Amino acid sequence: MDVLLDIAEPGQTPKPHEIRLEDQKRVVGIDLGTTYSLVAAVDIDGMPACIADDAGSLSLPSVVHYSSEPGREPITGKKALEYAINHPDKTVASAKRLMGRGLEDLADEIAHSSLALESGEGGMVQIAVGSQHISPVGVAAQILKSLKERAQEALGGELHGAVITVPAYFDDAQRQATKDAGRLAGLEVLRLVNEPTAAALAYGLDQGREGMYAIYDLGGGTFDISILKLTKGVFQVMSTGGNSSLGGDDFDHKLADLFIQEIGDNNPSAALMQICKQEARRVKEQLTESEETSVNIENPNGENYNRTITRVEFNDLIKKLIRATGLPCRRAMKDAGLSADKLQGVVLVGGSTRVPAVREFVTEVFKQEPLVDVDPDQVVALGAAHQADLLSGNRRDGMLLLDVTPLSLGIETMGELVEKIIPRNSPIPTARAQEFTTFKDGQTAMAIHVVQGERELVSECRSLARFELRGIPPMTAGAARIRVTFQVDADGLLTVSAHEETTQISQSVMVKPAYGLSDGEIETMLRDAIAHGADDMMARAFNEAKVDADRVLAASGAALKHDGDLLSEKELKKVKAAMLKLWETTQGKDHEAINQAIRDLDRDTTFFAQRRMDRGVKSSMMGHSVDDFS
Amino acid sequence: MATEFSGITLTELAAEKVQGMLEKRGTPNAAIRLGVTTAGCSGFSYKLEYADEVEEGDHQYEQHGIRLVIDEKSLLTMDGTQMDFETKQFKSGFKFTNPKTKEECGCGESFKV
Amino acid sequence: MATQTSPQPCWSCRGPIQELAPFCPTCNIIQPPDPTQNYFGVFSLTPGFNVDNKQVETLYRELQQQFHPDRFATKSPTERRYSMEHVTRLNEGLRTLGDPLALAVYLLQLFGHTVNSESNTPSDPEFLMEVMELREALEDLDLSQDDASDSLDNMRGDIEQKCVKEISELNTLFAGYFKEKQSATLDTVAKVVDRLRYHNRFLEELDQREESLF
Repeated sequence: MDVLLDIAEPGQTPKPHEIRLEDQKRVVGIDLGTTYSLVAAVDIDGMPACIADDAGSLSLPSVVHYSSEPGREPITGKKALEYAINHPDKTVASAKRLMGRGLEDLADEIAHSSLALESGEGGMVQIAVGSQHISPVGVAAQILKSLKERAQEALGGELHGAVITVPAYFDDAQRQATKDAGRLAGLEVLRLVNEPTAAALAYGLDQGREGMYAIYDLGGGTFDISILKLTKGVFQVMSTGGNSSLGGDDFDHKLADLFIQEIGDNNPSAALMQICKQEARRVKEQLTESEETSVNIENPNGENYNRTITRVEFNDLIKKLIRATGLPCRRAMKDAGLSADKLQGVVLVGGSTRVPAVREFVTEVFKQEPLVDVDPDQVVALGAAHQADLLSGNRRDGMLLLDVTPLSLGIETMGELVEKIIPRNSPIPTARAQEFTTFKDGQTAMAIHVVQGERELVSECRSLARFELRGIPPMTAGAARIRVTFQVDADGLLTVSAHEETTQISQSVMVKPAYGLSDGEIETMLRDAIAHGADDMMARAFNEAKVDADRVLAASGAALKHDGDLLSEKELKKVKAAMLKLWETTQGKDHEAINQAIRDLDRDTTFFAQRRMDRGVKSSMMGHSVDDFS
Repeated sequence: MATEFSGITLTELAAEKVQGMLEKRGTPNAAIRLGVTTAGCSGFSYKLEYADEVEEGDHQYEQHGIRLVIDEKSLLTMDGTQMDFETKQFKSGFKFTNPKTKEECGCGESFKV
Repeated sequence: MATQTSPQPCWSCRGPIQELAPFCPTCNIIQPPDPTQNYFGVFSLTPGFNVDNKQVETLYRELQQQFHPDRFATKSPTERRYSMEHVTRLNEGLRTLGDPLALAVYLLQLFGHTVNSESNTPSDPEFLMEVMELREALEDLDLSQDDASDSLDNMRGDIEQKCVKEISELNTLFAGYFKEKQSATLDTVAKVVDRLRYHNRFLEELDQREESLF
């Protein structure tokens, strides 16, 4: 790799691999897709562009091959795809469909998978490869690592951070799993952004479009629909909907099922299934261009299979699947409070929107021809790169994304019913509280079960977390007032807290739903996986301390400029000395030294702060007549 | 016995970029210091800094109106190096072509001679 | 009379901040949101039921530009937290001011009137009769019929009309209350709120039935 250097100030040349605050430019957007993944960054002209690998290819197949010998580095991408036919049981594709999922969620997946899926810790699914047990998060981390290395090569140094996209319809477990994968790959995840929202950002870049837009996103494994309002650079998501287990892979499955049925093999081998799947994908792609194509399958266990298939036949196979995207579309339009004729445009995202029958259906639902001027395969990654650039503070063009929660959040109440606390399509970040009470005399504990979904019955929603609020003072039934607060952050991730309000002693708990991986586990995995793991964490602690030190220095500087006249020369000297000391620690390596210097400066300026407050009180009283205070 | 050095060269494009940066920094007449430091996975890494002062024992070269300074120890490993400016899709910066480099680390940020 | 609050120290530079300004006049850093400010204050409106939604939306976007967490992504954890608190309040404010039912409930709370949001069964006997009739009509609908969707639409139309009527009633009642300040008016408001809440829930139920048709 070529190193391209900048001219540094005297004595400030960075050490190799050092991330400096000035390097915040090195941020990327990652489209972590079911079948393909891409990484993009803003190029030197300020436009987002996808980063190619050495062979010039932009997309990385989201496939990881694991060797049966433990300790061997897994193989990612195109090379891993080559192993898929001979080692289907050790080659993980479409891991995104398994992210944040339990075995019971995946009945359909298991039917089509050549992998040995099993139930892992925390009820999350994992994959058995020889003696190894691999989590979908680990697979995603491998893909992210590979993209990270590619980006570091192109950008010429360590990455400062990444925006990773998720389907808008991903629930809390799936989002958390994606964020964990990012951390496991050694990436600072700046933000999780919904795929359709990222796509809209890429679309709205230079056109200066205004009005309501629908983003129809059909990828390999997920379907999303979002309605966005664009006003003066603000992208406001009005509503979202979708299906996190419906995508182009299902079209392949339909074709593969047909082939296997016609081959007449009631008990097809894993290899035959794999061959059929790959042929199905080829046929699907061919039928977007041609009206018909031939199918040729070399059956390792019997006679070869040949036939011709027409687009009409294919359309018939997938008709039901495509129709299933209609309801979320209508619901999203209704949630946004508008009808199809009020839409300014419909944007297509995802490779599966290339299928002609999908385009025809979209035209029918939205009563207009969709827009296709940005490559649907790249548009998500490009938007994510733009968002990363916005977040890193590199850009000040005022563009802003306002997103929503895709699914309602609630808790279980009597009779296994769900009480919704945050309805779907609420703008995030958001917080909402609800009061609950005890139903038995002297009840001192209360179980709280957090669920996500639109249905009324708990069993039909996704269970996110269960926790118990203890230490409620014994009271008569209905007297206790337990306030449960849901906070959803800008990544769409949930935190729940609860406390009892009537008594002086208020109990409070914080719950971040955990799915299989705890923070501690991630740190351990990080240390094991990456030699630089510990260094990374030290670097992060240092950067955080430095951000805080910069803030304190700016605050002190502003205070001196504003109220410096309140200090004697000797006092001024002392404050300045403490500031200098703090600045010096930021030039070092030790985050503890920085924090100590911050505390010292704080102590040395307490009297100054007091004088400034006194002045503030005086000035606030000036200009008010005595009457004002009566 | 003093070693004979052939010195450091600078391409015209690199000189133009350096001049621009010096002006932006408000020190149009300052020099540029090149050097090597011992760090990184392969032993050495390059140093490229503004130089407001010339130090004792520094070697000085002038190319296309830009003054380059380098300490003698660094010159031992960097003699004959050409400094160029490159613009790629996602990055731009100065590039050193050092005839003495034998081995780079995977990341290219450090090298062996 | 002007309300007067004594200055509070900035959490970062400890300089005085008058009137709980969102940014420190000395060091320009973000401050926590003022807990005493209600949603009308946040959006610079005079309290009332008749809210100019255009103004709210315009201000919402402007305030988001200033406070959104994306603008503080590289800042310290404390600044990021305050940004989130501001924006959480903006989002809740937008929702409350934009939804007549939520707004009526919010106003009742501001005036110290207790609101019973939990009750599912209306206390007003006359309304109870209406509720039971609506339920019966819904149960009688045969969803397997081809015209089920039309019947649902008809029913929705009727209820939407009732909602419109209730909202206009609330508008008149609140206008009256702001003039006369009679607490009896708020009791009537609470009754209309109950009806509106029930009708809103019924509409949701109709939506769910309709979805089950596809």
